[in-house]
Amino acid sequence: MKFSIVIFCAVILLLLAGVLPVGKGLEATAVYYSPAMILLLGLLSISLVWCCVKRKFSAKQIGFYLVHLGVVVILSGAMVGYIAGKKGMVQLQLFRPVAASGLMGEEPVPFGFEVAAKDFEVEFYPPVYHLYHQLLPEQVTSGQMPFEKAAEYDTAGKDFIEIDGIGRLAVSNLWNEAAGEWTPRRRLEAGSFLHRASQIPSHYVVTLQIVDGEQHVELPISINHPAGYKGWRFYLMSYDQVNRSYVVLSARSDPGRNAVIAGIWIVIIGTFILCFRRQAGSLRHVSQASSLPLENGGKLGNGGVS
Amino acid sequence: METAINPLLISSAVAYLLAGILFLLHKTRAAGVVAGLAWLVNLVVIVLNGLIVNDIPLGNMYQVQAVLSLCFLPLFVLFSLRDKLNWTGVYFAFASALPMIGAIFMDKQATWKRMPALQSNWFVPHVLAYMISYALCAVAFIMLIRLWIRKSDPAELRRAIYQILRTAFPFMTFGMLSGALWAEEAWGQYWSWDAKEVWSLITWGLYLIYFHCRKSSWARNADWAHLLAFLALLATFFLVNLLPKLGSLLHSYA
Repeated sequence: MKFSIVIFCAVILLLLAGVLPVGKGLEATAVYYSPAMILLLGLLSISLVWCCVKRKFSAKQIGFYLVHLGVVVILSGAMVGYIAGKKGMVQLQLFRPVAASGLMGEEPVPFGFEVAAKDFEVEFYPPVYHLYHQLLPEQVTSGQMPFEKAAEYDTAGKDFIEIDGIGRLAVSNLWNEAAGEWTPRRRLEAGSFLHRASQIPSHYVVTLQIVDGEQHVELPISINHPAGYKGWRFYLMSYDQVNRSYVVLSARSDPGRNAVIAGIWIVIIGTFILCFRRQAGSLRHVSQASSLPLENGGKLGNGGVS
Repeated sequence: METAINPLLISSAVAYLLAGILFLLHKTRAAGVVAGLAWLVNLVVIVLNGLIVNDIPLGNMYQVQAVLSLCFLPLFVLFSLRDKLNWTGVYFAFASALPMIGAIFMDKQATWKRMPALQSNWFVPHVLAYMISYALCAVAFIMLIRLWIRKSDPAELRRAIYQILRTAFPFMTFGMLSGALWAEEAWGQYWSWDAKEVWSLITWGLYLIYFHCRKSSWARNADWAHLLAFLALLATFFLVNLLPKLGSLLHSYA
């Protein structure tokens, strides 16, 4: 038990070294992928397995086994992915196939097939407009713009917006048919104006076309909905917001992925079983547990050892 | 609708505080009624927030804090029924008031659009699991402070703290690991070593140390592990968002 606590403390100190903004700060990934961290996680795995082995098996201890072994499964899967996994970013110009990942000087990683992007679509939320009032010269302080924000109006699902002190404005009047876009700025009376806030995409989707010899496969992907082909998984990360001429994908081939996902579920289930089962932790039973002997011969009582 | 929010927030916070005082005075029945009213007002605030943003109101710190406040009372009822922890009402009531008081002074951005990455089935369970665990950890921490200030009946307080943290921990574990599953779905990486992720792992690890200390011959250090764990929790919840140097890119909206 003490060995595990020491390892936990050492891991936490290393995590802090990577995250605390001390001085210029350490290069976080250099800390998290350092030999020291890998060694500690290896020792942690060994201690977790040892904890399970030395315990006498009982069905009542199922939560304990699931939690401890689940962490080992996660770490093993992560290690397999770290050693044998391949990953990269791809900037895919529409309709121009590529055969490997590699962006911004990354070493290209061949897929073993070609990937092209087609049918890219992006939808936006209805715009939000901010109302600005002009300030009087005596109200403007040094460095301040001569107007201030007074309100904001979400046009979603609305036919009209009720503008404070000015009146009703039909939302359709804010659509510029000629330009095919929502009016960026609309002048109102007395120097006030409406300013369109940055438009937020509600959804974007691209269809990937895989060309693998004679085989042609189409895979639609969007954020939170990746797609896989022959061990590779493609994730839509972003797109060209100006010309919509390309999309950015993350491509991963991770043989440890399934183990990590399985381990995550094992730990979640195990933690709920371990913490919710009725045993010494339940208050009606703790009074008995408080006099139980510990492994080292001491006794647990009042949160301490007597 | 927006103009009704602040008076409702203030009413709810005051009622939670009043319930806490009534619990202190051992007027349990009256305290329960007042806490119930505060909770209903709290619920109205969340419904209004939902109507304003036309979505689940978890878009910014203010909205999240209103949801956090709502978690305490049902959890208190659970502990009262399951573990006979009725006497912990005072801690739950005061803990409910704190996020509400914070919410009063926060920027109440009226519009919120869920960006594509947040349009996932993981969003609500991930945030709610964290809210439940944070609510319980806050109560346990107030009890720890009480334990250190007044040493009366430490055994009972320690047992209650343990019981509360035992319930909090699976939710914290689910919150963290569901985030990893979500991240894998969205970006192809379970873990990006983002500041918020690392702080949440540190928090989880420190609570783990608390549980292991308690079972070992280092049991006397369990309280210190608990203190450090809660400080790390505060760093995860607040500092990462408020201090630019600790900034989180992937959780900039959290």
